[in-house]
Amino acid sequence: MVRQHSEKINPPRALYCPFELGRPFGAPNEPEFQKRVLTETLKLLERTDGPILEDFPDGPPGPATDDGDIEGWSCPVNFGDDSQEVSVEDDPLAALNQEIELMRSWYEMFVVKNSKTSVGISEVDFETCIKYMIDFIGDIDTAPPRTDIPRYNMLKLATDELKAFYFEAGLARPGLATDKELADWYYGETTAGKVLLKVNEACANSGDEVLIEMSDRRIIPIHQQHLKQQTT
Amino acid sequence: MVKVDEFPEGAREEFLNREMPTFEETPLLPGPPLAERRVALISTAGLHRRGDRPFTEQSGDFRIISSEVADEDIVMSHISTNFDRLGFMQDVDVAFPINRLKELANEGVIGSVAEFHFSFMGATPPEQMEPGVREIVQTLKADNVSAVALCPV
Repeated sequence: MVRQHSEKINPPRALYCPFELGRPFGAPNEPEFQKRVLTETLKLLERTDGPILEDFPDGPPGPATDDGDIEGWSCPVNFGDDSQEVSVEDDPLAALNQEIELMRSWYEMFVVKNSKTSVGISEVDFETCIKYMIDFIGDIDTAPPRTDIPRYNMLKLATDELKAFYFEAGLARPGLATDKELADWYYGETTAGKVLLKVNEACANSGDEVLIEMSDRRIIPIHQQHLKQQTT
Repeated sequence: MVKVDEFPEGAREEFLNREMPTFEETPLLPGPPLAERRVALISTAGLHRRGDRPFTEQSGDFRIISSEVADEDIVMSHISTNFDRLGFMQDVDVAFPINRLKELANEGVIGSVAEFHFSFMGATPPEQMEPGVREIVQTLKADNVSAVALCPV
């Protein structure tokens, strides 16, 4: 996935694929393309003229997603006339739960369409994960819902649950959204994003070495680091 | 897009210039034709069966994924936030091409699909994975596996 790394490691056989990190076989729901990448990889086994570092010749199928042809993708969260928006500053748990309920029908549509979900990975129910993150912001020593794994790991899994819920909801909305577009929306515009920034800040100020390391890039990704600066 | 070229400056240089393991030898061994090989997948995407232990920071251990696990029961607990997960959320084969591998076996391109596949969590110093790799090799030999596709993420 990273040509420069393969050049340094110099393995016997490698196929460099110019795809997004996270998509080594190109694109989802593109079985023929995926099979081509896999076949090209395995065919290298029949060669003995290496070390081999081949370049896969094509980019992934599907519409171009990085040349501005999808402008202004957004997933607005609308509170109807009857519903009063709760401020994340006043009551973060209520604010987050209110937003989650508004996203829920989109999330459920994703699950119906794809017959799968990444929510549930922590083996702790979603509501408990949400409450743990909020409680953690107020007190990092709040008892985590799982004690068989390290605290930071439980916290990370809880943030993964929230992200999976929102990203899957975002994928169910009409219009194609890239990871970057969804991330810009999720981290930059939603209540969930504001809560995550607070979780990250609590980690950064915890005095706990592992949590401080988490606050580097484990909760807020590299391309959203500017949001952290806005909160300090 | 989650491409290294689009990482913010500084982070990009750090990522590209990261220290990598080097090897004195690059053994390039011949083997049987592809159509006779039994193939296993080894991923570094932090994949495991739903309900299995999630990966932890700096862990060099691995998880076993049987060929028979349903797509919806393969989950990802990689610690990194810096790669695309939308693809995997929609289709396990974009990171772990188990269904494509089965198709290649049905088409006669490869001999057969291994009974077990494996995943590490890539955000770990590679030397910490070595004991796990040695353990996996024993399982692969017992399963008569003659080819492995390493699938980074």
